[in-house]
Amino acid sequence: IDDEEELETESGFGSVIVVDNLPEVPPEKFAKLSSVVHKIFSKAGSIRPDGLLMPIDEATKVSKGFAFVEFSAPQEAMAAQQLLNNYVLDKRHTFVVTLFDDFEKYARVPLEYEAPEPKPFVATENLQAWMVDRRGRDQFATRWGDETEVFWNDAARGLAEQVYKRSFWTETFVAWSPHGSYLATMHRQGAAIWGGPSFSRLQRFSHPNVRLIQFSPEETYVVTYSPVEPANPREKAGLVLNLFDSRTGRKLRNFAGSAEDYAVGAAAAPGGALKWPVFQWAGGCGDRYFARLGRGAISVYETPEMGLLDKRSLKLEGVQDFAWSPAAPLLCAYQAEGAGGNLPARVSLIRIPDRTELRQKNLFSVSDVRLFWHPQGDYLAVQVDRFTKTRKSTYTSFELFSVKERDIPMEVLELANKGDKILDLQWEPHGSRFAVLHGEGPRPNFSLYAMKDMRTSAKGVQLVGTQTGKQANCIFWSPQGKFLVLGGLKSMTGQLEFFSADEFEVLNAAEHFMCTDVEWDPTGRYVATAVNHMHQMENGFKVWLFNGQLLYQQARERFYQFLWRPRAPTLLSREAEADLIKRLKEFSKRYDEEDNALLDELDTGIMAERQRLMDEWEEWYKGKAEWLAWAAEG
Amino acid sequence: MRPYLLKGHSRPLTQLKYNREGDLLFSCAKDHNPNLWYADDGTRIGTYVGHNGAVATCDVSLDSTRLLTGSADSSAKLWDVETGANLFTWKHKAPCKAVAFGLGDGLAAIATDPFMTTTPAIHLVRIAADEADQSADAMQVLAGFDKRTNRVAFTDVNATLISAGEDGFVRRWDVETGKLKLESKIHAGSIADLQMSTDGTHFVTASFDNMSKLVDTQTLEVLKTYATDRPANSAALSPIFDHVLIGGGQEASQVTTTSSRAGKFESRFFHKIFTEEFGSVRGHFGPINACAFSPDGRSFATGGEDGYIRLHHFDNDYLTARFF
Amino acid sequence: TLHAHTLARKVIIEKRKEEAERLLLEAEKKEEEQRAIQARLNEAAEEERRRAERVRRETERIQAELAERELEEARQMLEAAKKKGGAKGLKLKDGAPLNKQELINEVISEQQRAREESEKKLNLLIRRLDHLERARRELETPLLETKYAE
Repeated sequence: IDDEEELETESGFGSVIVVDNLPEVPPEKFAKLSSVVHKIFSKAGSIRPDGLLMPIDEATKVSKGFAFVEFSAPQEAMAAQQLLNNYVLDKRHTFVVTLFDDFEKYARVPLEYEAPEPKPFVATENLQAWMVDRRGRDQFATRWGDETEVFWNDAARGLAEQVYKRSFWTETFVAWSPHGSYLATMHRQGAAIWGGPSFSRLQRFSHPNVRLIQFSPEETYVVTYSPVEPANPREKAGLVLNLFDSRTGRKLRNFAGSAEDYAVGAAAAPGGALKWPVFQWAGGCGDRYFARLGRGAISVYETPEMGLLDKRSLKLEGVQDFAWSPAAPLLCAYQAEGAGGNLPARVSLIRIPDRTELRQKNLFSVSDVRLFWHPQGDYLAVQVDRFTKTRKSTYTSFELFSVKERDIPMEVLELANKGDKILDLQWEPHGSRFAVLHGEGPRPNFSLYAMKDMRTSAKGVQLVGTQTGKQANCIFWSPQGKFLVLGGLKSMTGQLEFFSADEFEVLNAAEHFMCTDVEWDPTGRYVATAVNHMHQMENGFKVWLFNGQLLYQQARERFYQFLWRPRAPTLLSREAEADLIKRLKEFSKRYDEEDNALLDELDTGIMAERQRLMDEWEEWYKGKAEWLAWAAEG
Repeated sequence: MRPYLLKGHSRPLTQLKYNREGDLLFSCAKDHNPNLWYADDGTRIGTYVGHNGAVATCDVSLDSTRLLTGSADSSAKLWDVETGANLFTWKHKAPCKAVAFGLGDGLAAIATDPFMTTTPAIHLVRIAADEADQSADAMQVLAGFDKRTNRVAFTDVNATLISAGEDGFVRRWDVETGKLKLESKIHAGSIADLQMSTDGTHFVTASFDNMSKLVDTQTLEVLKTYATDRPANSAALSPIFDHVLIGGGQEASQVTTTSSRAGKFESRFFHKIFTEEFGSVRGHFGPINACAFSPDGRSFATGGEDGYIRLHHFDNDYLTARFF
Repeated sequence: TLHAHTLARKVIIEKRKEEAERLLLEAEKKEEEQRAIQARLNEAAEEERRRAERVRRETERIQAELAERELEEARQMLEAAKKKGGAKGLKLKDGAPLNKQELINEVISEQQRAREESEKKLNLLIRRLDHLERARRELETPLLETKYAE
């Protein structure tokens, strides 16, 4: 079977669903059941006349327990599948709804889903072809309505050039892998990854009802998740996690259990729900370790064996949260106070695989702790919220670890006003500064701190500056550092400030009304802002230059996602980079020439097109001469 | 270009019409009384009192002596422009949503909605030189469609009637025989407005499907498409430049919760041939329901859901600038 | 008759005397009046002069105050501009006459210059960022191609 065909079937039954697990009824109850089923499925869309078919066993005259329902549009069938799958009719009958096209697939290759036979990975296409665009452009994906589109960000020409477009590509969302090699799509029967210049399907990961997906940092593995609804009120909600090899598609390990056991400490949302991702991957070690929070322990697993490291979890009494360094197999764990406050809270840095505790700090009267790793693992900021003596309120301070230095020195930083709420803290990528939005009122303050003096390199955290009264609640650093965007999202209606950290001044203030998302491109040259479907109106995106100059925009109804395609780390050596900076002038000269030629071409192109349109119009008008003469006479 | 704000309607505007000379501006709205204004400074000259329902449409005769109006009170009325006297009333069984005078003023069209058991139709009537001789009878009834007609216009020296409406179709009818000659579905949504070019060779439409289109009057071939990101309620053609004026905005029900800038209530200017947008004018607090160019092309009027008419005189920049 | 004649003459003389006296008196009176008028005029003129003097002094005072204020404003403006860093090239010359308008113009043109300069700097930065990235990619391309070929 040609897999490529499967997801694109257009057998003409796109509007048909198969409903399984219906009661099997004798002829006298047939009409009643028909009307019940009809009523239930009308919720999802309009059923075609005679569009409900419930086969009957010729011998017994009893209905066969399944039905076909044909809707007037494929979208309605999809909606019905999503809306009414697992619909509980009564104690014994829970509907299983399948798209007819999918059902056909299952019928044709029933074994594939039972026991997936991994197919060898044949990379016929260069998965990194997009990285060698001659003009150094980057790609992004957008999802709106039923469409998923991939574009080149063509800043020089001020437009987005379409690379690929596909309707109904995914059932819920799309996601790029961390190096941009794959685009993941989600389907009822599992997840799929696509790539190469033609976006062909590279692999599938069978996981019925899959909801979420996570790639390991170096794209070697894929983790998928699906919840398991309790079959009755006495049962607990469960979950299934599958771990795949992203290249072979082979399922390497399965985790299943009660959701409760996974929603622990910081891994649990306020309502007790599970926070994604469940697993955290260690950085800088070739996807060697991943870990999850458990009760009083962190379970560290080792690839490719997928077993617990040394067959035992990391026992940490009262552990609430942990985070891997993005650069090394080193994790920071936070343990809450124990023994009724007699045991202090604890933050420790533990090296894997030898489990050596490199550094630790005891903390008292702790209300909450948050961990912020520097993107290159140079520093770790631990935000500590402590109770005041009366325990009625809290105040904040930071423990700052210089991880790359000998003995990992530690400093304490307190804000000028300790009672300030911390709205956001972000480390400067490829730098040694961090930005904080803090304050109590509706207009917070923005402060920039440096871990060392920029001129003298003298160590020690210091305040670079504070600006008060910002209309912002989120910080977005350029991936290259030096520049950042302060976003006033949600309640702040989309105020944007493009900020230079070096100059400590606002380069440009702008607004993207009701903006919900801000995303830097992987090179730090451009910023995209978007209004997604959380708002009814103004949906679409804008692309800006890093200094806040608007380049172009697209309005799209039902806009869901804007995702820059990430890039793999550069293959250039440090020496090559240094050499490049020396030779930049010669490159620059050529690029300027290329850009000018391009703009000329664009201008000429536009002028030529306008001339063509004008000529065409005049030609059309000539054809009207006779009618005009006749009308004038009449 | 400081606009005159004309306050004379208490409900959303439905249509605006200049007379041939361009010195008078007629307006009708969902309140019951059409108004007459000086097109120069927006002074109100008078009001036509008599309808008992929202007035959906109006047209003025070529000699500026007669006004024709169509209303939700299921009637169309003929008025003396100068005295405001109601000269004649056509009583129908359904709301009248479109009216138009023919060339030479002896002929007019009145379109009625589908309503209860009444099917929609377009009634072609003779307009008598002396109102004492005016007959209520239609000389021709055009039928055979099932959705509301929003606009009608005569062409081919009164030999053909163009109609457009909710089904997204534009139709050409033979006035003589009453037969449908040509039809074309040019919009996915309801067509809210249709305005002829000065020479009648082409017209522009505005539709709820967020599009405006330029159409060949004879062949009904779509020549140009102007895409906006909101429903288009009205579109007008500049008599002197290759410019199209499009007014619209989100539906009233959707804009109550957001600020006026979110609803996009600007009048937007497109280049007729390049289909590129080159300017916009803000001001209304609600969607723009009606817009019109003055016959000399030096001013334009817009009428909004907010009940206001804004009368804009272009400044010299617009008249002398080359936008492309 | 002589007596009568003398008597008559006496009367005439007397009358002439009287007349002369009257005239003298009249002339004196007139002169007196004239003097009074002149005095009043002089007084008015003096009053006018004094008023004018007052006005002149007041105007001068206001002018001086305005000039001082203007100077002060100019000074402040300059300080503010300096603080903002937009008018680094400007100096308040000691002793040199200060003109506010001139200063405004200078500050404006200085700011304009500063703005242009920062714009130029920014454009250079924009180009530099872009060109660095493009050069990086250009040099990386053969490496990526080799990797794919493997």
